[in-house]
Amino acid sequence: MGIIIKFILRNIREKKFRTFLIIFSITLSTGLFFASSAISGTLEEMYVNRMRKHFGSAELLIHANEKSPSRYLTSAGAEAHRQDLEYIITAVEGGGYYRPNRDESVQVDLKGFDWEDLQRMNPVELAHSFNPEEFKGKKTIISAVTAEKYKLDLGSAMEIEMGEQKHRFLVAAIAAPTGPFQEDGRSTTVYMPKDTLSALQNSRGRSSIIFIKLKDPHQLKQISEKLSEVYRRYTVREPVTIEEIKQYTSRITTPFMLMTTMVLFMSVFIIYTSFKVITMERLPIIGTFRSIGATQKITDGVLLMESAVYGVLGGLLGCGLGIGVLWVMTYLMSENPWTGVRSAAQIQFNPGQLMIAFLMALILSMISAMVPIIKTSKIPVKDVVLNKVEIQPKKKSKKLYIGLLFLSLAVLLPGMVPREAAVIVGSMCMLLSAAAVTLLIPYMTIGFVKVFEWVYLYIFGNEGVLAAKNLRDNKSIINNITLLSIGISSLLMINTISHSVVKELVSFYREATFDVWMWTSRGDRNLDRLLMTVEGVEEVYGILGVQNVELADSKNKINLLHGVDKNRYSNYWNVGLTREILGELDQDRNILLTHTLKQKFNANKGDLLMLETKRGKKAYRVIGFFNSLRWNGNYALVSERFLKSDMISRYYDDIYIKTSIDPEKVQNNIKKKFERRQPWVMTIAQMEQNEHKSNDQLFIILNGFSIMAMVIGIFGILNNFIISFIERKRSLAVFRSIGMSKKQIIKMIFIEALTGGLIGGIVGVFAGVLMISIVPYVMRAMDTPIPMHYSLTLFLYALLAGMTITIIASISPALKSSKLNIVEAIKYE
Amino acid sequence: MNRGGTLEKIIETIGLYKTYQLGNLDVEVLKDINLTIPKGEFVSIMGPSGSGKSTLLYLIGGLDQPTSGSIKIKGKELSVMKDQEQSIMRRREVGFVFQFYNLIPNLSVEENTLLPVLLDGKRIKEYQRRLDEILGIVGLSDRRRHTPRELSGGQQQRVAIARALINEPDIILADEPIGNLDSKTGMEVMELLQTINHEKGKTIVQVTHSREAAAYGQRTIHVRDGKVEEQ
Repeated sequence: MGIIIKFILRNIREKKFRTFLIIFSITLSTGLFFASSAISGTLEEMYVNRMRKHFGSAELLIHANEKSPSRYLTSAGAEAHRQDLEYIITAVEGGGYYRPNRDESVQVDLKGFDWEDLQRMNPVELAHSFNPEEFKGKKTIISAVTAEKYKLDLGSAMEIEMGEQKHRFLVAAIAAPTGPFQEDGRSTTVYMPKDTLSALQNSRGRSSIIFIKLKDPHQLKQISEKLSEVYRRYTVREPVTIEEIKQYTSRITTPFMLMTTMVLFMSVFIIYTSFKVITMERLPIIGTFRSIGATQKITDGVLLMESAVYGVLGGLLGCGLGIGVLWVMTYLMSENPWTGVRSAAQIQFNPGQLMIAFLMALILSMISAMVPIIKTSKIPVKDVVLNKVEIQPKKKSKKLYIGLLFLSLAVLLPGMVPREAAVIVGSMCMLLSAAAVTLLIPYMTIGFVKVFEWVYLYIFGNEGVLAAKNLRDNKSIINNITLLSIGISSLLMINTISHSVVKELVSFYREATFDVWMWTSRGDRNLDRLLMTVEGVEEVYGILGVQNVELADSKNKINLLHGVDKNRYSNYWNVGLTREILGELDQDRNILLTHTLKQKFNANKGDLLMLETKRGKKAYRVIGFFNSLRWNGNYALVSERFLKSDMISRYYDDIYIKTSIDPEKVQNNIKKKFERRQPWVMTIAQMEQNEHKSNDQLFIILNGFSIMAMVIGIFGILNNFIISFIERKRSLAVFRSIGMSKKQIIKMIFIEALTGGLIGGIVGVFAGVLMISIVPYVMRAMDTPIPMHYSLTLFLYALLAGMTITIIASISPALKSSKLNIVEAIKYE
Repeated sequence: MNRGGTLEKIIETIGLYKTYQLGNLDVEVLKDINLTIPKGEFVSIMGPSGSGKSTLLYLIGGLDQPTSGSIKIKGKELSVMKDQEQSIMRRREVGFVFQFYNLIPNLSVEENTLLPVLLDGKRIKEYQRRLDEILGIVGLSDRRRHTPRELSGGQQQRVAIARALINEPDIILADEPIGNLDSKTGMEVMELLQTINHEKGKTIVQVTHSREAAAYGQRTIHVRDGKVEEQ
């Protein structure tokens, strides 16, 4: 056994570049696989952590809603279930304004907790000693960030306005920006003793929120149901639902997984092709082993062990790389693009995920090597021993048919499957496209060669014709074309998606014909009037809206329903809606849907949609459709007057403002004017910029993945050129012997590389277009319906990149070929 | 024969030496080879394995460079020729036939045969009649679209001969042309070479182990330990 292992290790050592290539591709695939599978855990953690600021370890929350008799409630109902609960923590929450100086007023979230309760639920990290006994009366705990921002210290006074009253508090503790004091860039939180806030709010000992943690988390559903019974007129809910988390993470993890699959596909291809060469090289040795009594199992085992060694090494390195990639991904994703605040995210993974990634590496290596090994083991012993193995060209029609079948499936399936299955089927179809292209490339190459033979005669002369002819059966160059086309198609897909998303975002903001967007609560005519007094404000339009309107008798809902003023809406949004159609909308209970909702609801003009309104079910007639990406297209319009009456909607929170001066100046003027109200005001340009930023995060990583795929491809191509040179030494020597000059050899090899690159580029673009055509189905199923915009320049770059890569990779073999020892190559090869 | 009545020298080697380095050792493969081969002669070179006969053939064909000495093909000194000139010489003046045929596996019979024409930058369309004639001579007219994989050893060697003839070179250098063929096929190939020598007047230099094959030539040169022993 020892000798065999030594033999395997020696083989691995001898072919350094090939070993590097195989291990490198396994390492990258494993690393990306691990990072993609673990990132969902990290993202979940990041998301939950952001949310934990508000609920700590609590698993259920009980609080008032619109139907509740009071803002406050007691914990008596929950106490009845005390035996099942680890804690019941009551707290009082409210809002106020802190005035750091005369001119400034900061909205603050006030939270009243008992110190022990807070520590139990959401521990506070303090950098100094603190006596909890002193946390009584008008004392506050603030975060170090707030303290630094407003130059507050221990014992400093804070004047906080609550309603009409001003109260003076003393800073009792300054906490690190973790746990309940995590920074989100938006709100400022001030903690104070529960009794104090309760007294100030006159809640009479009752609380505004109850936090509950269960003894057994598996009982969450039962306990939640029981508590809902007890607190019928209040809301009993989980702080964050699994669906919310999954929805948040899947949008990000699905594209990562998809790219990882492409990288895996390339690795399988590289290992498979490398093992084809390895098994052929080892034939004489296998023959020797067999002649001295080794069984087929032993010789297969030796080769499989070699692949296992690659798998183990690649797996170990890949796990290390994966942790690094995960760290980079986490770092890039941890910044909130809208606030610029980077959350203290830590990478999350468990040993199981590392083990799965490692096993994946091992299996990837061994399975990819299996086919060539099995093929070799089928060669008769006599032929192996005598090294008389002739590779007969096989009839490849089976591959052609399978390739065409895959291609047809990839084209047809995405449009046929239901929306729920679109993500999985779409992803599979992208893989099928890659597989189809791989299978069809030899046939496509034959077609291309016929064209190139004719064209090259006029461009490059006879060397061009020869180069084209050489491509027909040159497996290494066909492998190069395959690697290139998969790499290019992945790059194209990611770049086209990112290009399309950016283009759509830009067009979304271009649809807005106003300059400043303001969000505030309880907007009304009075607010409009006040806004009109702000310097630079020219026109104001507050739009009534209701979120999450359910469709009766269906699980569907409209995420945003706006009630529009027929005379004003089209002045602020250019979404192709005429005054006529808006006039029609106003005449009755009519509704305009986006094309996304049209598809989602399978709605046609004239259909009646039954909406759940505050006045019961109301039927709205669909009178038309329009394009908009607001709320990812989950957006509809009804008339303002019907929304008012059916939804009992009086206040608006979306206000569109047209300006007569620089929108940023107007933004500042509004902020100043409404500092107590603390509205969220942004210019359209700022919003566009922030959207770019938030998409950049994701696309930087995805581009990183596709570049990794390309890097593996480039190394694979280099390796193929080396293999090709070794395999063709004899043929090249024959060319030299019948009169081909060194210059002609170099020219021929460069033309071959150029043609390989060109075909790889063309097929890559074709495969890319095929994959991109699947993307809208996947995006739609993920509720981000973005049409794809094809960029001709990008496609041209892909072609150029293909040619550049292959030409650069062929420099070394071309030079080596010209220096070839003809006699040695002819006689001894 | 030239105007003076003497035979025209087509190949001439003077004081030819070839030394290979084997590790730290210098191995003299050819020592002071002086040969003259007149135009139209069919010469066989014989000798035991490792005697240097193939090396001599490759030196004559310009596939390898001598350590010292001179080789003249049609009066032109090979050692002063640049790669481009030597390549042109191999295309136009010399045709090679190897023991293992050395055909390009993915090219058809036609394409393999026309390779020297292609390398010479000529239009293959202009060579169709010549191609037909040569494929007729070697008896492969009905196999022109086949690839070497679809041919027997004898047929492959015929393609190699056709390729050697397509540019109408004056010299054909054959390295063990029947070494890989059964005796019947081997004799057929030798007869073909003899016909080419007789009818086309080509100078043929073959390296062979076989006395029967050598007998097809007009003269046999024996090489032993890197030296010409008898002619």
